[in-house]
This record gives sequence, structure tokens and C-alpha cells, in this order.
Amino acid sequence: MKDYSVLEKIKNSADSCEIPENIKPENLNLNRREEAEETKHKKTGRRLWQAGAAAAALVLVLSLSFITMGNRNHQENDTAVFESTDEGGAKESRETSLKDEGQKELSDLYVQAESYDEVYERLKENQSQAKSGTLLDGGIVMEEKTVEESAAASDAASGSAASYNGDYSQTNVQTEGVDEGDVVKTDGEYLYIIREEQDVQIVKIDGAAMEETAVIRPDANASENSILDIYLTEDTLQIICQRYDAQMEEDGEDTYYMNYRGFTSVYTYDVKDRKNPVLTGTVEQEGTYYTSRKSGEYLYLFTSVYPQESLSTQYSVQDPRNGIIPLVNGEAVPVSDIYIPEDKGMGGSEYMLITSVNQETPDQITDQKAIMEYASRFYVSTENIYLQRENWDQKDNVHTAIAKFSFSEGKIKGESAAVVSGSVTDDFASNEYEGYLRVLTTGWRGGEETNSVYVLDSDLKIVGKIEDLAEGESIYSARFMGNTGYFVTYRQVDPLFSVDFSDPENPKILGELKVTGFSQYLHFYGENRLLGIGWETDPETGAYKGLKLSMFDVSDPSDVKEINKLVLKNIDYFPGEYNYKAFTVSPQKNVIGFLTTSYESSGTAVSYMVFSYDDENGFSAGLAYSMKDGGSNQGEDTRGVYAGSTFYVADADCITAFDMENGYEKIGELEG
Amino acid sequence: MDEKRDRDTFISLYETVYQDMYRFAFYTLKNRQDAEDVVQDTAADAYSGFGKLRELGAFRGWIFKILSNKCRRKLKEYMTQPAELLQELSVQEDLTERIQVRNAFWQLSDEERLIVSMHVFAGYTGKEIARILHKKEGTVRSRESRALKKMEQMLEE
Repeated sequence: MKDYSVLEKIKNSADSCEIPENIKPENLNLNRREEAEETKHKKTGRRLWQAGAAAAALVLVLSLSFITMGNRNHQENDTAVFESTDEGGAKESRETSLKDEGQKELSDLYVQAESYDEVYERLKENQSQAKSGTLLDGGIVMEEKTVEESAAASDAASGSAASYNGDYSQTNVQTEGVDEGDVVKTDGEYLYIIREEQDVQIVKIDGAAMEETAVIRPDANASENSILDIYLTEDTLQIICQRYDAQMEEDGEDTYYMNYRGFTSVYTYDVKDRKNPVLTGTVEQEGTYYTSRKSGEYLYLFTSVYPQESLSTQYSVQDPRNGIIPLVNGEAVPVSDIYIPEDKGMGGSEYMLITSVNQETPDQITDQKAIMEYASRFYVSTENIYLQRENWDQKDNVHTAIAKFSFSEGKIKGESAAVVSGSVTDDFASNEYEGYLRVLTTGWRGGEETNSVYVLDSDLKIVGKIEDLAEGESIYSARFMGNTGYFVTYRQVDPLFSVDFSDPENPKILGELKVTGFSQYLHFYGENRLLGIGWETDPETGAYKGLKLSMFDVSDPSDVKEINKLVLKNIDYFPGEYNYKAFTVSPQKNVIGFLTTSYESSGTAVSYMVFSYDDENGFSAGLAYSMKDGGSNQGEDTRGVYAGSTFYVADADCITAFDMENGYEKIGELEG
Repeated sequence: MDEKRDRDTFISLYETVYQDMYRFAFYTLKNRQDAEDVVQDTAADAYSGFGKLRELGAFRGWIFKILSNKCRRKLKEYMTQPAELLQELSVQEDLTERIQVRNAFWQLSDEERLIVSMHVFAGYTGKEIARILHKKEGTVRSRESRALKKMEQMLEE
């Protein structure tokens, strides 16, 4: 197998690595650490993470109401905006324009392909560019990582909006009103649980009473099909599955290699009768599952498609067997729905494929778009999809190109584009409110980080901005509430301060507060309260001391106070650090639920914790439940869910019920 | 175990893994100094938690888990430090195959490098990688296969 030989080559190439003297066993200095530990952490008995650099946090409170200022102030900076009508000069100015911030046409970033051959040619160019490995690659490819990783921050609106329609919990989402798939769902009367990626279990719940009513396996070949997410909208259950088609391909004499093509499907079930779910339709598109959203009756599915390398001369480019043009329901995406990068060399050698499907017509795709682009960071508001791609230039300046696609009733439409300075370091650092897109970026100038705030109107014209914020730091988490934005940044020392921008020309630091540690996740918690979940650190050494819950009083955004905190020691990790769906937070229900893990010799110890909060008593532990066998998938697929006064800790292995009105007493259990 | 024996045991176990730990960190982070620091840090952390390790056979998987998460955090820090990130990428001309492979490896994305390193240097299976990185197994598998395919393309040149 080819794969195997590459792995071997990597291993061999590292054999010659010179190992630094300092880390050789005979030189390894554990004493320094031991001493530090004895003095500093005697009580904990065990030191947790020790950060290389002193870590600290800073919360910037930005009042954004003013930012809708005219563009006039920034004309100077925008001079390079691409306005050329001269076709001859267009190419050049365009290349530079993408490195300059300002409003763009969507066609400055992506153009609709004119023919399949053009798509193919471009793909070949991009692939060969990838081979020669431009320095740009690193920056661009990197973006995708954080999409999954940076559960750190959040969208404000949804904060207040841990809002629930009934007395049951819902998946913690990025944008209120836009649903996201997850591994466990509830409607208050039933639980729906993905088990081992193989089936979906439906369980009737009524306090301590739990009874399985049905198990759904999407198809007979379920073992090849991984179930990755489910959606529940009243009586409609949708199951997202991914599978690989392996093809043996000849590659010279006696050499074959496996070509994998990923496909992602949506199976839609009518579950009106929870005992007899009925499959009502299936759609399938090429690519590995990236993410999805659901708005109203429409599910939007995002996949990454890696085209096959070689064009077989036997088939035409768009022939499904060729693997060049992505497939939707077995057919090549129409050429008019394919966007290729305008700027040659900037594109990816893969597609992001977006489709929509109406749950009432679950066999049909309503719309589709294939964008030849690395799977980028993106933000989905209630009406728009914003694709964000970082571009690095040779001087290490970074810009972010934003492409806006609207979605409505399943139709996906290219709208506009813009370029802003810096990179968006967090999914939640983008937020749309009343037609304006607010974006927080971290850039790099003269060897130091610098941060900016942008406000763009519905045509993505930059109407306001603040630059040079918090030098030497980067944005770590964020949350927006209406016209106010909260940001946590990260740096060597640890002031928490607030900045007032109500006079756009004179932003002012209003206050400075020392707070140790930093928040990786922010969530509004009732009126004037902002919950931060992150790590406590030692202000001198930066050593991680434990998981930290903070409550900030934000009644006066110019004078934010940390009014309560709690540090949990001996915790190495919490899944919410990278996956906000792992949190169950509801101020109405007074529930802060999440899972924690500690690395133990016997494996990873996993506990589900529920805290409540009031200003007087601070955080109080309601539940600290040690998961059997470390939980399903080490707790990664475990969710806390409440319905009425019962709290359920649910995963593939077990559902455990606790009475919230009686000290979270364990009242029931159902093995998976 | 008394302290001395504890330490000796730790060192003897560490001896079996430190080279791979360094390779793992260096290949993932692309920076010698950071790789060294991260291995140091991991060793110190592991040593302080060593008392809890009852099953010595689990040492490798356990210490690499700590290392993997440390590298992952470090990569996140890099997100905003392009200058440093690109530093070691400078293209040299007359390259031996080993250097070529390494350079090709360094063209992969952060996540791809981490996943492949976890496979090659730590010896984790796809399922274990998925668990440690808290990703779906299918995602890990496809990322790795895509990464290797990219490398193949680069090395064909």
C-alpha cells in the first residue's frame, strides 16, 4: 500500500533527528519542577498543566453601538480597493486588492465556472501548486483546524438564548434559531442517542422511567456507514451518515492503491410513532462530513470533497466515474453551481460542497453550491453563510477574505465579499446583528500581535473599525449581546479590562481588573451575568491550576467585575474546551453542566458535573457523577440533558436519571 | 514505592519513549526549541502524576496523551504567530530524501501533522487518536488518508 510506504518514510526521516541533550534521561531535570511543586502546590498534591509561558487573560468589553460610522474615516486605508474597470490592469490590481482590506465583489474571490473543462484545468493547476508547496499553504490550511477546535467562544445572542421552548434542554448552538446536529437530542419526552456511530436509539423518558421504543439503523450496510449527527424537528428525525467507497486502482506493475471517496447522506425519518419510525427519504452527496445547520424545514449540509488525482481518459470530466466534479445524488454538480477562485493559485485543490434539503421532500436537493476552496472557517447566522479564508503574504501579513452566501428557503446565493486585516482566531469572533457583521481579528505587526474589530454592512462594506487593540495578545474567546461585545484575550500578564468605544474616534480604557486564569468559553447567564469557563493559572508561573468557573457582573459594561469564581483541581481536560455542544447551560433552569476528564494510570477518569449559581453563594455543585468505564468514547459523546425536573446523563452505553429537586439523587438507569 | 525507586522507574520508562516524544513534537510543531520545551514539560507533568500510574504497561499511551494535548495547545498558540510558524519552512535546495520527506510533512496542516504524528511516533490507532483528539473516527481516518495522499503527490515530484 502506498499509504504504508509514506508512513514508513516519515518514520525513517525522523530517525536522524538530533535529540536535544536537555531531554535525555540522564540530563532530564525534574528537580526544578519538584521544588516548584512542593512550594506552590502542596495542597493540591498534583500539579496540573504547566504552561510554557505565563498565561493570563484579559477581557475587553467593547460597546459597539457606535461603530456604524461612515466609511469616510477610512478612505485612506481603502485606497487600494479594487475598482479598476480596465480589464488589462485588472489582474494585477486584483491580486493586490485581496491583500488590502475593504469591500469586494464576490467575483473578486470566486467566479462561477463556465465549463467543466475549466474546473478541471483549475483543479490541476491548484494541485500542482500544492505539490510545489508554497509557503502560503500553511496559513490557509490551518484555518480548518480551529473550526472544530475553538469551542472557546460564542455568539452572544445564543447566550441569553440557552432559551428553551419547553422545559427541556436543547443542543448548545452557535446562533440562536439555527439548529446544529449532535449525538444526543431530546424533545422532553424522548431521548435520541447515536450509539457507536451505528444506530440511533429512541428512549421514552418520564422521570425515572425509561424505556427503549425503537432502534434505527439507516441501512443494511450500517457497518460501513458512520452516523455522525442527528437532528430532531418535532416528528422528523434526520440522521447524517458518512461512508467511504474504496476503489482499487492500478498504479503501475503489480501495484495497486486504494482510492477512497467519501460520501455523506441524510436519512429522514417520520417518527410520529416513536415505536415505528418510517424512512421518508434519503439524499447523498460526495465528500466527508464537515458540518451542518438546520433552519426551519431546511437542512444545510457541508462536506469536503477531495477530487481524484487523475483524469481517466475513458470518461468525460463530469462523468461520475471520473471523480473530478463532485456528485450530488449521483450526478455531477451543474457547472453554474461551481465557484472557482478568481485569483489563480489562491484556491484549493478541493471543494466545499453545500447543499440544502427540505425535510418534506427528503429525496431531493433543493439547492447546491460547490466552492473550490479549502474547507475554511465559516460562520452561519440566521440568514447567511460567511466563508472565511486566511491569506498570508510573503511578509507574514495576514488578511481574511470573507465571502457571503445568503440562504433562504433552501436557496443558496452568492452575495458579496470583503477583505479584513488579521485572521479570525475563533468561530465565535464573528457575529451578525441587525444586518451588520461584526468580526474580531488578530493580526501580526512588527513582531507583535494586534487586534481589530470590524463592522460590515449587509453589502460587506466596512463601515467601522477599531485597530491596534491589546497589542501582544490574541483573542481567545468572545460573546456578543446586542450591541456589546465581550472578548477574552491571552497574554503574559493578566489584567482584565474594559474598553469603551462609545465615542468612535476616542476609544477609552475604562477600567482594569486583575483576574487570574482565562476563559475559553463564555455564556450569558441571566440578566447582567456572564459565565466564563476556562482554566485557572498561577499568575507568576503560568502553571495551570485547575478548571475555573467565573461569573462576571456585566451590568455596567464599563465596569465588569468578577463576582464569583470556583476552581476545580485535578482536572486535565474538559470536552467543552473544543466542543461547545458538550455544555448544557441554562440560566432559567440554573444548570451549568459539563464533563471533565483526568488522566489516570488506569485510563481517563470521566465525571459529569452540574453546578448551580447564585450571587450570594456562588457556584454550588449539584452533581458530580463518575461515569462508568469512562463514559462512551471517553465522555466525548456524553451529553447532559434535562426534561422537567429530571437530569439525564446520556450516551451510547447508559442513560442515568437524577432528580434535580432532590439533590440530584440518582433515580434510574438504562443500560444501552 | 519510595521516591528514589519511583524516580528510577520513571526514568527507565521515559528512556524508552523520549526519542519518539521529541520526534513527535518536532515534526508536529516544526520548531526545535518548542519541541524540546514541550517534551520537558510533559516529562515533568507525567512525573508529578506518576504516582497514580499503577499499570506501568500503560506508560507510553499515557505520556503521549499528555504530549498530544500539549502540542495541540501549542499549535493553537501558533495560530496568531505566523512569523514563527513559517520560520523553519525555508526551502533548501539540494535535499536528501529525508529532508524532502520532512519538508513535505511540514506542508501538511497543523491538524494533519498532529494526526499523522500520533500514528507514526506515538503508535496510536485511528480509534485512539479519535478519542484523544475528541473527533469522530471517520474524520481522523479521512484526514490522515488525505494527508498521506498529499505527501505522496509532493514526493512524486
